[in-house]
Amino acid sequence: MEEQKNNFIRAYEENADALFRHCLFNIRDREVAKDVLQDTFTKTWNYVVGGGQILNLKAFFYQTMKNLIIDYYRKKKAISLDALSEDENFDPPAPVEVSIEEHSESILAFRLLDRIPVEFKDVIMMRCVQELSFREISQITGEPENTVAVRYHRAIKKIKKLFNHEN
Amino acid sequence: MRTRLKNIVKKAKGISLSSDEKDSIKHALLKHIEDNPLVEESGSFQIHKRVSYSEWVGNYFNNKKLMVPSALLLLLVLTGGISFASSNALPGSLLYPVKILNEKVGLAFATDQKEKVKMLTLNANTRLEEAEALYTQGKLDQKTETDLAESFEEDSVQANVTLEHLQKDDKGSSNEEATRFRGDLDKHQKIIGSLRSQERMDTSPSGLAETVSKVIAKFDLFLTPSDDIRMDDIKKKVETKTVFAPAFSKPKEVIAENKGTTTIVENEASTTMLAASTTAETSTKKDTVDSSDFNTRYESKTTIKTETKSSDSSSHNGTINVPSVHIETHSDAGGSLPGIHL
Repeated sequence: MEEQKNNFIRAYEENADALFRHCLFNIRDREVAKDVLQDTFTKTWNYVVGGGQILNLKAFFYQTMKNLIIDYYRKKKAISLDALSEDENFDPPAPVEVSIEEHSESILAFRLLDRIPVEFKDVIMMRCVQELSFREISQITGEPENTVAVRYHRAIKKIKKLFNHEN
Repeated sequence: MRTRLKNIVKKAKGISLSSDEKDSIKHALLKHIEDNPLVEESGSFQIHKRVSYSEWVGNYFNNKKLMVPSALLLLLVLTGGISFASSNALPGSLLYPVKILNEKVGLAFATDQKEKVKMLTLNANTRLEEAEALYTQGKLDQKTETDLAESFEEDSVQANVTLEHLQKDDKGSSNEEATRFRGDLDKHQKIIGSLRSQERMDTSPSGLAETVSKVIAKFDLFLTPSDDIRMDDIKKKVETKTVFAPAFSKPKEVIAENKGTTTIVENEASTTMLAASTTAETSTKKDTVDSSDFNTRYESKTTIKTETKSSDSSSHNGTINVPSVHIETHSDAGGSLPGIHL
Protein backbone atom coordinates (compact mmCIF):
# COMPACT_ATOMS: atom_id res chain seq x y z
CA MET A 1 0.00 0.00 0.00
CA GLU A 2 2.68 2.44 1.06
CA GLU A 3 4.75 1.50 -1.94
CA GLN A 4 1.85 2.16 -4.30
CA LYS A 5 1.39 5.56 -2.72
CA ASN A 6 5.07 6.45 -3.12
CA ASN A 7 5.02 5.23 -6.70
CA PHE A 8 2.02 7.43 -7.42
CA ILE A 9 3.74 10.50 -5.95
CA ARG A 10 6.84 9.73 -7.98
CA ALA A 11 4.68 9.42 -11.10
CA TYR A 12 3.25 12.85 -10.28
CA GLU A 13 6.70 14.39 -9.99
CA GLU A 14 7.85 12.84 -13.25
CA ASN A 15 4.81 13.74 -15.31
CA ALA A 16 3.45 16.94 -13.74
CA ASP A 17 5.37 19.37 -15.97
CA ALA A 18 4.61 17.63 -19.23
CA LEU A 19 0.96 17.21 -18.33
CA PHE A 20 0.76 20.82 -17.26
CA ARG A 21 2.19 21.95 -20.59
CA HIS A 22 -0.25 19.75 -22.43
CA CYS A 23 -3.08 21.22 -20.44
CA LEU A 24 -1.90 24.81 -20.78
CA PHE A 25 -1.65 24.57 -24.55
CA ASN A 26 -5.18 23.33 -24.69
CA ILE A 27 -6.79 25.59 -22.12
CA ARG A 28 -4.61 28.71 -22.36
CA ASP A 29 -5.30 29.56 -18.75
CA ARG A 30 -2.61 28.84 -16.22
CA GLU A 31 -4.90 28.68 -13.19
CA VAL A 32 -7.45 26.44 -14.85
CA ALA A 33 -4.62 24.29 -16.17
CA LYS A 34 -3.33 23.84 -12.64
CA ASP A 35 -6.79 22.81 -11.44
CA VAL A 36 -7.19 20.38 -14.29
CA LEU A 37 -3.76 18.96 -13.53
CA GLN A 38 -4.67 18.38 -9.90
CA ASP A 39 -7.98 16.83 -10.89
CA THR A 40 -6.20 14.54 -13.29
CA PHE A 41 -4.13 13.05 -10.48
CA THR A 42 -6.92 12.86 -7.92
CA LYS A 43 -9.30 11.24 -10.39
CA THR A 44 -6.69 8.71 -11.41
CA TRP A 45 -6.06 7.88 -7.74
CA ASN A 46 -9.78 7.49 -7.17
CA TYR A 47 -9.95 5.09 -10.07
CA VAL A 48 -7.23 2.92 -8.53
CA VAL A 49 -8.86 3.05 -5.08
CA GLY A 50 -12.14 2.03 -6.68
CA GLY A 51 -10.55 -1.17 -8.00
CA GLY A 52 -9.36 -0.06 -11.41
CA GLN A 53 -6.35 -1.67 -13.05
CA ILE A 54 -4.02 0.63 -14.93
CA LEU A 55 -1.46 -0.90 -17.23
CA ASN A 56 0.11 2.33 -18.35
CA LEU A 57 -0.16 5.11 -15.82
CA LYS A 58 1.28 7.81 -18.06
CA ALA A 59 -1.18 7.09 -20.85
CA PHE A 60 -3.98 7.00 -18.28
CA PHE A 61 -3.02 10.48 -17.02
CA TYR A 62 -3.22 11.87 -20.53
CA GLN A 63 -6.52 10.20 -21.21
CA THR A 64 -7.99 11.52 -17.96
CA MET A 65 -6.66 14.97 -18.72
CA LYS A 66 -8.13 14.87 -22.21
CA ASN A 67 -11.53 14.05 -20.76
CA LEU A 68 -11.22 16.81 -18.17
CA ILE A 69 -10.29 19.36 -20.83
CA ILE A 70 -13.34 18.33 -22.83
CA ASP A 71 -15.44 18.71 -19.68
CA TYR A 72 -13.94 22.14 -19.09
CA TYR A 73 -14.89 23.37 -22.54
CA ARG A 74 -18.36 21.95 -22.18
CA LYS A 75 -18.90 23.70 -18.86
CA LYS A 76 -17.26 26.93 -19.92
CA LYS A 77 -19.70 29.73 -20.49
CA ALA A 78 -19.15 33.19 -21.73
CA ILE A 79 -17.94 35.29 -18.85
CA SER A 80 -18.43 39.00 -18.99
CA LEU A 81 -15.40 41.12 -18.17
CA ASP A 82 -17.60 43.58 -16.28
CA ALA A 83 -18.83 40.85 -14.00
CA LEU A 84 -15.26 39.86 -13.34
CA SER A 85 -14.08 43.37 -12.44
CA GLU A 86 -17.07 43.77 -10.15
CA ASP A 87 -15.94 40.71 -8.31
CA GLU A 88 -13.83 41.86 -5.39
CA ASN A 89 -11.71 38.75 -5.32
CA PHE A 90 -10.79 39.00 -8.98
CA ASP A 91 -7.11 39.73 -9.07
CA PRO A 92 -5.44 38.78 -12.31
CA PRO A 93 -1.75 37.89 -11.94
CA ALA A 94 0.77 40.24 -13.45
CA PRO A 95 1.92 38.95 -16.81
CA VAL A 96 5.32 37.28 -16.85
CA GLU A 97 7.99 39.46 -18.37
CA VAL A 98 8.56 38.47 -21.98
CA SER A 99 10.27 40.33 -24.77
CA ILE A 100 8.14 41.62 -27.61
CA GLU A 101 9.93 39.33 -29.98
CA GLU A 102 9.31 36.27 -27.87
CA HIS A 103 5.73 37.26 -27.43
CA SER A 104 5.18 37.70 -31.14
CA GLU A 105 6.86 34.39 -31.86
CA SER A 106 4.69 32.56 -29.40
CA ILE A 107 1.65 34.24 -30.86
CA LEU A 108 2.78 33.13 -34.28
CA ALA A 109 3.32 29.61 -33.03
CA PHE A 110 -0.13 29.43 -31.49
CA ARG A 111 -1.66 30.99 -34.54
CA LEU A 112 -0.05 28.35 -36.72
CA LEU A 113 -1.15 25.59 -34.40
CA ASP A 114 -4.67 26.93 -34.36
CA ARG A 115 -4.84 26.78 -38.11
CA ILE A 116 -4.22 23.08 -38.36
CA PRO A 117 -6.81 20.47 -37.41
CA VAL A 118 -7.03 19.73 -33.72
CA GLU A 119 -5.80 16.14 -34.03
CA PHE A 120 -2.73 17.41 -35.90
CA LYS A 121 -2.13 19.97 -33.22
CA ASP A 122 -2.35 17.42 -30.43
CA VAL A 123 0.12 15.11 -32.04
CA ILE A 124 2.55 17.99 -32.70
CA MET A 125 2.35 19.11 -29.11
CA MET A 126 2.83 15.65 -27.71
CA ARG A 127 5.70 14.82 -30.01
CA CYS A 128 7.62 18.11 -30.15
CA VAL A 129 6.95 19.67 -26.80
CA GLN A 130 6.36 16.71 -24.54
CA GLU A 131 8.74 14.47 -26.44
CA LEU A 132 6.47 11.48 -26.26
CA SER A 133 7.17 8.54 -28.52
CA PHE A 134 4.68 7.55 -31.20
CA ARG A 135 3.86 4.50 -29.13
CA GLU A 136 3.06 6.60 -26.10
CA ILE A 137 0.97 8.97 -28.19
CA SER A 138 -0.90 6.04 -29.68
CA GLN A 139 -1.59 4.73 -26.18
CA ILE A 140 -2.90 8.12 -25.13
CA THR A 141 -5.07 8.76 -28.14
CA GLY A 142 -6.07 5.13 -28.54
CA GLU A 143 -5.13 5.12 -32.20
CA PRO A 144 -2.67 2.87 -34.00
CA GLU A 145 0.97 3.90 -33.82
CA ASN A 146 1.16 4.09 -37.57
CA THR A 147 -1.76 6.49 -37.76
CA VAL A 148 -0.08 8.73 -35.22
CA ALA A 149 3.23 8.70 -37.10
CA VAL A 150 1.56 9.51 -40.41
CA ARG A 151 -0.49 12.25 -38.80
CA TYR A 152 2.61 13.78 -37.22
CA HIS A 153 4.43 13.96 -40.53
CA ARG A 154 1.43 15.46 -42.26
CA ALA A 155 1.07 17.99 -39.46
CA ILE A 156 4.72 19.00 -39.74
CA LYS A 157 4.33 19.39 -43.50
CA LYS A 158 1.28 21.55 -43.01
CA ILE A 159 2.93 23.71 -40.37
CA LYS A 160 5.95 24.27 -42.59
CA LYS A 161 3.72 25.25 -45.47
CA LEU A 162 1.80 27.70 -43.30
CA PHE A 163 4.99 29.08 -41.82
CA ASN A 164 6.48 29.75 -45.25
CA HIS A 165 3.25 31.35 -46.31
CA GLU A 166 3.31 33.65 -43.28
CA ASN A 167 6.82 34.81 -44.04
CA MET B 1 12.77 29.06 -40.61
CA ARG B 2 13.97 25.87 -39.07
CA THR B 3 15.77 27.75 -36.29
CA ARG B 4 12.76 29.89 -35.56
CA LEU B 5 10.55 26.87 -35.29
CA LYS B 6 13.14 25.24 -33.07
CA ASN B 7 13.18 28.29 -30.85
CA ILE B 8 9.44 28.19 -30.48
CA VAL B 9 9.52 24.53 -29.60
CA LYS B 10 12.36 25.13 -27.16
CA LYS B 11 10.42 27.85 -25.47
CA ALA B 12 7.33 25.72 -25.36
CA LYS B 13 9.34 23.00 -23.70
CA GLY B 14 10.50 25.50 -21.12
CA ILE B 15 6.95 26.04 -19.92
CA SER B 16 6.53 24.33 -16.60
CA LEU B 17 5.05 24.67 -13.19
CA SER B 18 7.00 26.73 -10.72
CA SER B 19 8.29 24.73 -7.80
CA ASP B 20 5.75 26.41 -5.50
CA GLU B 21 2.91 25.48 -7.80
CA LYS B 22 4.20 21.98 -8.09
CA ASP B 23 4.51 21.61 -4.33
CA SER B 24 1.10 23.00 -3.64
CA ILE B 25 -0.50 20.53 -6.05
CA LYS B 26 1.60 17.76 -4.51
CA HIS B 27 0.35 18.64 -1.04
CA ALA B 28 -3.20 18.69 -2.25
CA LEU B 29 -2.66 15.35 -3.88
CA LEU B 30 -1.06 13.84 -0.76
CA LYS B 31 -3.98 15.05 1.28
CA HIS B 32 -6.36 13.48 -1.20
CA ILE B 33 -4.41 10.21 -1.02
CA GLU B 34 -4.54 10.28 2.80
CA ASP B 35 -8.28 10.90 2.68
CA ASN B 36 -8.82 8.11 0.20
CA PRO B 37 -6.42 5.34 1.13
CA LEU B 38 -6.08 2.16 -0.87
CA VAL B 39 -8.19 -0.69 0.43
CA GLU B 40 -8.16 -4.44 -0.14
CA GLU B 41 -10.43 -4.21 -3.14
CA SER B 42 -8.37 -1.49 -4.73
CA GLY B 43 -6.80 -2.03 -8.08
CA SER B 44 -3.24 -1.39 -9.07
CA PHE B 45 -1.27 0.54 -11.62
CA GLN B 46 1.91 0.11 -13.52
CA ILE B 47 4.23 2.96 -14.16
CA HIS B 48 4.84 2.56 -17.82
CA LYS B 49 8.21 3.68 -18.94
CA ARG B 50 9.45 2.52 -22.27
CA VAL B 51 7.95 -0.83 -23.15
CA SER B 52 10.47 -3.38 -24.26
CA TYR B 53 9.64 -5.52 -27.25
CA SER B 54 9.30 -8.71 -25.22
CA GLU B 55 6.99 -7.00 -22.74
CA TRP B 56 4.90 -5.66 -25.55
CA VAL B 57 4.58 -9.12 -27.12
CA GLY B 58 3.71 -10.47 -23.66
CA ASN B 59 1.03 -7.87 -23.12
CA TYR B 60 -0.32 -8.42 -26.57
CA PHE B 61 -0.74 -12.14 -26.05
CA ASN B 62 -2.14 -11.67 -22.56
CA ASN B 63 -5.01 -9.87 -24.13
CA LYS B 64 -7.44 -12.75 -24.55
CA LYS B 65 -9.57 -10.96 -27.08
CA LEU B 66 -6.65 -10.71 -29.45
CA MET B 67 -5.10 -14.07 -28.70
CA VAL B 68 -7.16 -16.36 -30.92
CA PRO B 69 -7.25 -14.17 -34.03
CA SER B 70 -3.59 -13.32 -33.76
CA ALA B 71 -2.62 -16.96 -33.25
CA LEU B 72 -4.65 -17.89 -36.33
CA LEU B 73 -3.08 -15.11 -38.30
CA LEU B 74 0.37 -16.19 -37.21
CA LEU B 75 -0.40 -19.76 -38.20
CA LEU B 76 -1.72 -18.63 -41.54
CA VAL B 77 1.29 -16.46 -42.24
CA LEU B 78 3.73 -19.12 -41.15
CA THR B 79 2.09 -21.98 -43.02
CA GLY B 80 1.63 -19.83 -46.10
CA GLY B 81 5.27 -18.84 -45.93
CA ILE B 82 6.43 -22.40 -45.34
CA SER B 83 4.27 -23.69 -48.17
CA PHE B 84 5.73 -21.11 -50.47
CA ALA B 85 9.27 -21.73 -49.26
CA SER B 86 8.82 -25.47 -49.63
CA SER B 87 8.07 -25.24 -53.35
CA ASN B 88 11.78 -25.43 -54.14
CA ALA B 89 12.67 -28.02 -51.51
CA LEU B 90 14.58 -31.12 -52.55
CA PRO B 91 14.36 -34.59 -51.00
CA GLY B 92 16.27 -34.69 -47.73
CA SER B 93 15.51 -31.07 -46.83
CA LEU B 94 13.29 -30.17 -43.89
CA LEU B 95 10.59 -28.62 -46.04
CA TYR B 96 10.33 -31.50 -48.50
CA PRO B 97 7.50 -33.27 -46.63
CA VAL B 98 5.59 -29.97 -46.70
CA LYS B 99 6.01 -29.85 -50.44
CA ILE B 100 4.68 -33.39 -50.85
CA LEU B 101 1.78 -32.59 -48.53
CA ASN B 102 0.97 -29.49 -50.57
CA GLU B 103 0.88 -31.58 -53.72
CA LYS B 104 -1.45 -34.09 -52.10
CA VAL B 105 -3.75 -31.36 -50.84
CA GLY B 106 -3.79 -29.79 -54.30
CA LEU B 107 -4.68 -33.14 -55.82
CA ALA B 108 -7.44 -33.71 -53.29
CA PHE B 109 -8.96 -30.38 -54.25
CA ALA B 110 -8.80 -31.03 -57.99
CA THR B 111 -12.35 -30.60 -59.20
CA ASP B 112 -12.34 -32.35 -62.56
CA GLN B 113 -10.39 -35.04 -64.39
CA LYS B 114 -8.50 -32.61 -66.55
CA GLU B 115 -7.22 -30.66 -63.56
CA LYS B 116 -6.27 -33.91 -61.85
CA VAL B 117 -4.28 -35.00 -64.89
CA LYS B 118 -2.53 -31.66 -64.99
CA MET B 119 -1.54 -31.93 -61.34
CA LEU B 120 -0.41 -35.53 -61.62
CA THR B 121 1.74 -34.84 -64.65
CA LEU B 122 3.13 -31.76 -62.95
CA ASN B 123 4.01 -33.81 -59.88
CA ALA B 124 5.61 -36.48 -62.03
CA ASN B 125 7.66 -33.81 -63.80
CA THR B 126 8.65 -32.32 -60.44
CA ARG B 127 9.95 -35.72 -59.26
CA LEU B 128 12.19 -35.93 -62.31
CA GLU B 129 13.35 -32.35 -61.85
CA GLU B 130 14.23 -33.12 -58.24
CA ALA B 131 16.20 -36.17 -59.25
CA GLU B 132 18.04 -34.16 -61.88
CA ALA B 133 18.77 -31.33 -59.46
CA LEU B 134 20.05 -33.74 -56.83
CA TYR B 135 22.16 -35.55 -59.35
CA THR B 136 23.66 -32.30 -60.57
CA GLN B 137 24.53 -31.43 -56.98
CA GLY B 138 26.00 -34.90 -56.52
CA LYS B 139 23.52 -35.74 -53.77
CA LEU B 140 21.43 -38.41 -55.46
CA ASP B 141 21.91 -41.67 -53.60
CA GLN B 142 20.47 -45.04 -54.56
CA LYS B 143 17.56 -44.88 -52.11
CA THR B 144 16.44 -41.40 -53.09
CA GLU B 145 16.65 -42.33 -56.73
CA THR B 146 14.49 -45.42 -56.20
CA ASP B 147 12.00 -43.42 -54.14
CA LEU B 148 11.76 -40.68 -56.74
CA ALA B 149 11.46 -43.18 -59.58
CA GLU B 150 8.67 -44.99 -57.73
CA SER B 151 6.87 -41.78 -56.95
CA PHE B 152 7.24 -40.64 -60.56
CA GLU B 153 5.91 -43.93 -61.86
CA GLU B 154 3.01 -43.85 -59.45
CA ASP B 155 2.00 -40.35 -60.53
CA SER B 156 2.38 -41.24 -64.19
CA VAL B 157 0.30 -44.39 -63.87
CA GLN B 158 -2.39 -42.45 -62.06
CA ALA B 159 -2.26 -39.78 -64.75
CA ASN B 160 -2.61 -42.47 -67.40
CA VAL B 161 -5.62 -43.99 -65.68
CA THR B 162 -7.23 -40.57 -65.25
CA LEU B 163 -6.51 -39.79 -68.90
CA GLU B 164 -8.37 -42.92 -69.94
CA HIS B 165 -11.36 -41.76 -67.93
CA LEU B 166 -11.06 -38.31 -69.42
CA GLN B 167 -10.86 -39.71 -72.92
CA LYS B 168 -14.40 -40.98 -72.65
CA ASP B 169 -15.72 -37.48 -71.97
CA ASP B 170 -13.28 -35.22 -73.71
CA LYS B 171 -11.01 -36.89 -76.18
CA GLY B 172 -9.44 -33.61 -77.35
CA SER B 173 -8.12 -32.47 -74.00
CA SER B 174 -7.03 -35.95 -72.96
CA ASN B 175 -4.88 -36.21 -76.08
CA GLU B 176 -3.59 -32.71 -75.58
CA GLU B 177 -2.53 -33.47 -71.99
CA ALA B 178 -0.99 -36.79 -72.92
CA THR B 179 0.98 -35.20 -75.76
CA ARG B 180 2.19 -32.43 -73.53
CA PHE B 181 3.35 -34.84 -70.86
CA ARG B 182 4.92 -37.03 -73.51
CA GLY B 183 6.90 -33.96 -74.66
CA ASP B 184 8.02 -33.26 -71.10
CA LEU B 185 9.14 -36.84 -70.70
CA ASP B 186 11.21 -36.58 -73.88
CA LYS B 187 13.00 -33.56 -72.49
CA HIS B 188 13.69 -35.31 -69.21
CA GLN B 189 14.91 -38.39 -71.00
CA LYS B 190 17.40 -36.24 -72.86
CA ILE B 191 18.53 -34.50 -69.69
CA ILE B 192 18.95 -37.77 -67.82
CA GLY B 193 20.80 -39.16 -70.81
CA SER B 194 23.22 -36.26 -70.82
CA LEU B 195 23.67 -36.53 -67.06
CA ARG B 196 24.49 -40.18 -67.40
CA SER B 197 27.06 -39.44 -70.06
CA GLN B 198 28.70 -36.86 -67.81
CA GLU B 199 28.96 -39.40 -64.97
CA ARG B 200 29.31 -37.00 -62.13
CA MET B 201 28.93 -39.74 -59.59
CA ASP B 202 29.88 -43.37 -59.35
CA THR B 203 26.29 -44.35 -59.90
CA SER B 204 24.31 -43.00 -62.78
CA PRO B 205 20.52 -42.62 -62.62
CA SER B 206 19.97 -45.78 -64.61
CA GLY B 207 16.92 -46.90 -62.63
CA LEU B 208 15.30 -43.55 -63.25
CA ALA B 209 16.10 -43.66 -66.94
CA GLU B 210 14.48 -47.09 -67.17
CA THR B 211 11.37 -45.90 -65.40
CA VAL B 212 11.12 -42.89 -67.69
CA SER B 213 11.41 -45.14 -70.76
CA LYS B 214 8.74 -47.41 -69.34
CA VAL B 215 6.36 -44.51 -68.78
CA ILE B 216 7.11 -43.11 -72.22
CA ALA B 217 6.18 -46.48 -73.73
CA LYS B 218 2.97 -46.44 -71.74
CA PHE B 219 2.01 -43.01 -73.00
CA ASP B 220 2.94 -43.95 -76.55
CA LEU B 221 0.53 -46.80 -76.24
CA PHE B 222 -2.10 -44.46 -74.93
CA LEU B 223 -1.59 -42.00 -77.73
CA THR B 224 -1.37 -44.47 -80.63
CA PRO B 225 -4.73 -46.20 -80.58
CA SER B 226 -6.48 -42.95 -80.07
CA ASP B 227 -6.12 -42.29 -83.81
CA ASP B 228 -6.88 -45.88 -84.67
CA ILE B 229 -9.48 -48.41 -83.69
CA ARG B 230 -10.20 -48.57 -79.98
CA MET B 231 -9.07 -51.95 -78.79
CA ASP B 232 -11.65 -52.11 -76.08
CA ASP B 233 -14.46 -51.59 -78.56
CA ILE B 234 -13.39 -54.46 -80.75
CA LYS B 235 -12.86 -56.68 -77.80
CA LYS B 236 -16.32 -56.02 -76.51
CA LYS B 237 -17.98 -56.55 -79.85
CA VAL B 238 -16.11 -59.75 -80.58
CA GLU B 239 -16.88 -61.00 -77.11
CA THR B 240 -20.60 -60.53 -77.58
CA LYS B 241 -20.53 -62.20 -80.96
CA THR B 242 -18.66 -65.17 -79.61
CA VAL B 243 -20.86 -65.72 -76.68
CA PHE B 244 -24.21 -65.24 -78.35
CA ALA B 245 -24.34 -65.49 -82.12
CA PRO B 246 -21.24 -65.13 -84.25
CA ALA B 247 -21.97 -62.63 -87.04
CA PHE B 248 -19.18 -61.29 -89.17
CA SER B 249 -20.69 -58.13 -90.53
CA LYS B 250 -20.10 -55.87 -87.53
CA PRO B 251 -16.42 -56.44 -86.90
CA LYS B 252 -15.90 -56.00 -90.58
CA GLU B 253 -17.44 -52.58 -90.44
CA VAL B 254 -15.36 -51.56 -87.51
CA ILE B 255 -12.14 -52.71 -89.01
CA ALA B 256 -13.09 -51.32 -92.37
CA GLU B 257 -12.42 -47.87 -90.92
CA ASN B 258 -8.78 -48.79 -90.81
CA LYS B 259 -7.28 -47.05 -93.76
CA GLY B 260 -4.49 -48.41 -95.88
CA THR B 261 -4.94 -52.07 -95.14
CA THR B 262 -8.65 -52.21 -95.68
CA THR B 263 -8.98 -55.24 -97.94
CA ILE B 264 -6.69 -57.55 -96.13
CA VAL B 265 -7.90 -56.52 -92.76
CA GLU B 266 -11.41 -57.33 -93.74
CA ASN B 267 -10.32 -60.75 -94.81
CA GLU B 268 -8.34 -61.13 -91.71
CA ALA B 269 -11.22 -60.10 -89.51
CA SER B 270 -13.57 -62.53 -91.14
CA THR B 271 -10.97 -65.24 -90.90
CA THR B 272 -10.44 -64.47 -87.28
CA MET B 273 -14.11 -64.50 -86.63
CA LEU B 274 -14.35 -67.79 -88.40
CA ALA B 275 -11.63 -69.01 -86.17
CA ALA B 276 -13.48 -67.68 -83.20
CA SER B 277 -16.66 -69.41 -84.11
CA THR B 278 -14.84 -72.61 -84.81
CA THR B 279 -13.06 -72.36 -81.52
CA ALA B 280 -16.24 -71.58 -79.71
CA GLU B 281 -17.92 -74.57 -81.29
CA THR B 282 -15.13 -76.93 -80.48
CA SER B 283 -14.83 -75.60 -76.99
CA THR B 284 -18.25 -76.91 -76.10
CA LYS B 285 -17.03 -80.36 -76.80
CA LYS B 286 -13.49 -80.23 -75.50
CA ASP B 287 -13.84 -77.77 -72.62
CA THR B 288 -10.44 -76.40 -73.39
CA VAL B 289 -11.03 -73.15 -75.25
CA ASP B 290 -13.37 -70.57 -73.81
CA SER B 291 -14.22 -67.02 -74.76
CA SER B 292 -11.58 -65.49 -72.52
CA ASP B 293 -9.00 -67.67 -74.18
CA PHE B 294 -10.24 -66.33 -77.45
CA ASN B 295 -10.08 -62.78 -76.23
CA THR B 296 -6.51 -63.20 -75.17
CA ARG B 297 -5.61 -64.52 -78.51
CA TYR B 298 -7.56 -61.88 -80.31
CA GLU B 299 -6.02 -59.15 -78.24
CA SER B 300 -2.49 -60.24 -78.90
CA LYS B 301 -3.32 -60.45 -82.52
CA THR B 302 -4.74 -56.97 -82.67
CA THR B 303 -1.71 -55.52 -80.97
CA ILE B 304 0.61 -57.07 -83.44
CA LYS B 305 -1.62 -55.97 -86.24
CA THR B 306 -1.40 -52.38 -85.11
CA GLU B 307 2.32 -52.54 -84.89
CA THR B 308 2.61 -54.09 -88.27
CA LYS B 309 0.44 -51.42 -89.71
CA SER B 310 2.44 -48.59 -88.29
CA SER B 311 5.73 -50.08 -89.39
CA ASP B 312 4.36 -50.71 -92.83
CA SER B 313 2.80 -47.38 -93.37
CA SER B 314 6.01 -46.09 -94.91
CA SER B 315 6.71 -48.98 -97.24
CA HIS B 316 3.07 -49.68 -98.22
CA ASN B 317 3.69 -53.41 -98.13
CA GLY B 318 1.27 -54.07 -95.34
CA THR B 319 -1.08 -56.02 -97.58
CA ILE B 320 1.28 -58.96 -97.72
CA ASN B 321 2.83 -58.74 -94.31
CA VAL B 322 -0.20 -58.48 -92.14
CA PRO B 323 -1.60 -61.99 -92.72
CA SER B 324 1.77 -63.62 -92.19
CA VAL B 325 2.03 -62.06 -88.77
CA HIS B 326 -1.35 -63.42 -87.92
CA ILE B 327 -0.32 -66.92 -88.75
CA GLU B 328 2.52 -66.70 -86.28
CA THR B 329 0.34 -65.31 -83.60
CA HIS B 330 -2.21 -68.00 -83.95
CA SER B 331 0.30 -70.75 -83.77
CA ASP B 332 1.84 -69.05 -80.73
CA ALA B 333 -1.45 -68.72 -78.99
CA GLY B 334 -2.23 -72.35 -79.20
CA GLY B 335 -1.95 -73.58 -82.74
CA SER B 336 -5.32 -75.21 -82.49
CA LEU B 337 -6.56 -73.88 -85.82
CA PRO B 338 -4.20 -75.01 -88.54
CA GLY B 339 -6.95 -75.00 -91.11
CA ILE B 340 -7.22 -71.26 -91.43
CA HIS B 341 -3.56 -70.39 -91.75
CA LEU B 342 -3.08 -68.24 -94.81
